[in-house]
Amino acid sequence: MPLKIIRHAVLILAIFIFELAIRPNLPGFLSEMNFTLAVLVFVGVAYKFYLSVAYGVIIGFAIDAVSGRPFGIITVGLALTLLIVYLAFNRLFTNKSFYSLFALNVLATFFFNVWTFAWSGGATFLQTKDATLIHSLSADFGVGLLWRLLANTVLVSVLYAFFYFRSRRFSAAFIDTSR
Amino acid sequence: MLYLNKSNKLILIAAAVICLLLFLHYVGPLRPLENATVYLTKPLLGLTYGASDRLVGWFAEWRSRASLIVENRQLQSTLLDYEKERSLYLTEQEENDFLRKQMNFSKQNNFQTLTAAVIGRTADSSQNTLIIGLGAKSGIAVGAPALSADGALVGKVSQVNQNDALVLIASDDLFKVAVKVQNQTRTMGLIEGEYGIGMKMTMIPQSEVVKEGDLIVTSGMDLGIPSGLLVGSVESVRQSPEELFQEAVIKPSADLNSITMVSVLKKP
Repeated sequence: MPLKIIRHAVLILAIFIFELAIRPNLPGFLSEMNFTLAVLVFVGVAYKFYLSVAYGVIIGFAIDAVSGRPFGIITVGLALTLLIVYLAFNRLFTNKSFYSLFALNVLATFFFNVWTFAWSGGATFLQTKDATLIHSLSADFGVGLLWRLLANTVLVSVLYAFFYFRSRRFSAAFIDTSR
Repeated sequence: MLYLNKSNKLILIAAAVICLLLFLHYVGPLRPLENATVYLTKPLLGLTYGASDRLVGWFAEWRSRASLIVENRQLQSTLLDYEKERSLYLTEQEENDFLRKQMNFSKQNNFQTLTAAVIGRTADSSQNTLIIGLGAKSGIAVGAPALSADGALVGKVSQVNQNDALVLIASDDLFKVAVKVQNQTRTMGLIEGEYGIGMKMTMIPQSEVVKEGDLIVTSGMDLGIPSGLLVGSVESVRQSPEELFQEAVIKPSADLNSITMVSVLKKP
């Protein structure tokens, strides 16, 4: 049991460190990835959703502690995104395959980024009252979102390939939604 | 009673935890935990960020080095092309200058000249000669004087072939031409080449006064060489009372070491 806790703690710390200290220095479009989000979606699909929610709350708390945004934006954003992904996974996709992982990743990336942009855009508008600025920020956001989708897809594909050959987590199975 | 399945329980618990976290943050009790989180992770974050930044820097340096090598090669190739172009331009400019001067010289003296490029040079022990790119076909004749662009004597044609000819340079030991000094008495003498490096004027009577700086021109007494062609100037005079004649060291007016084109006078 303690070993399990240490394992989880190390994983949470690794995700946190990677998100803040390594991801920004990645070359090209890879620096745009929502690393934490993509990993949480993967953990939720490949393992258990309660695990990804737990990770999300802890990592979200840590990121909010060092973030310049209002406290809770990241944590709430991750939680809501995981909820949407969970509902989509149970009701729409219902199997652990690459296409469902890909689709859930796209959904999660879109929702999470719209959530964070809405908050930061709203805060900027409240400060500046400049609609033109918001308009141009929106255009940048749109372009950035495409890069983020691409980067997250790359990450998720790498994780999928790794786990596909290493474990049976992605072997065909039905999900019991009655419990 | 509302039935809560596992997933609904999970959602409720997560929502409750998040709301509690937010409440505690904005009220205040959570601050120490937040500060502790930052404090504990800061060293590791700093270390990792620095390491990844350095790694990116090395990678960027490696890439730029590779691109610099490629750019260097391209620039070297471009430089070589420019140097070739420049060399061509300088050659043409030199030719242009030569032709312009020759035109002036010919106009002033009513000489008919043929311009020939120097295509080679022999400097063996027997002869110091230039090989020019015109021969008998173009009208070059043995004995014709070869001049520089300014009309100064360079040598004379010693051998003619169909398409090329040899010009014996004025500093060669075998070169001789009858000259006169541009002084009051028009002192006559003979120019001889010296070991391929200079010229001397011999057969100057002891009674004649020749000074340093006096100009030396051809006297017209050689067949095919008109008078008045500039040869050089007196550099020093060697006098010896027991000798019959004086000698003068002559500084050639033409640069005999860097000749690329000559004008050869046509036979009248």
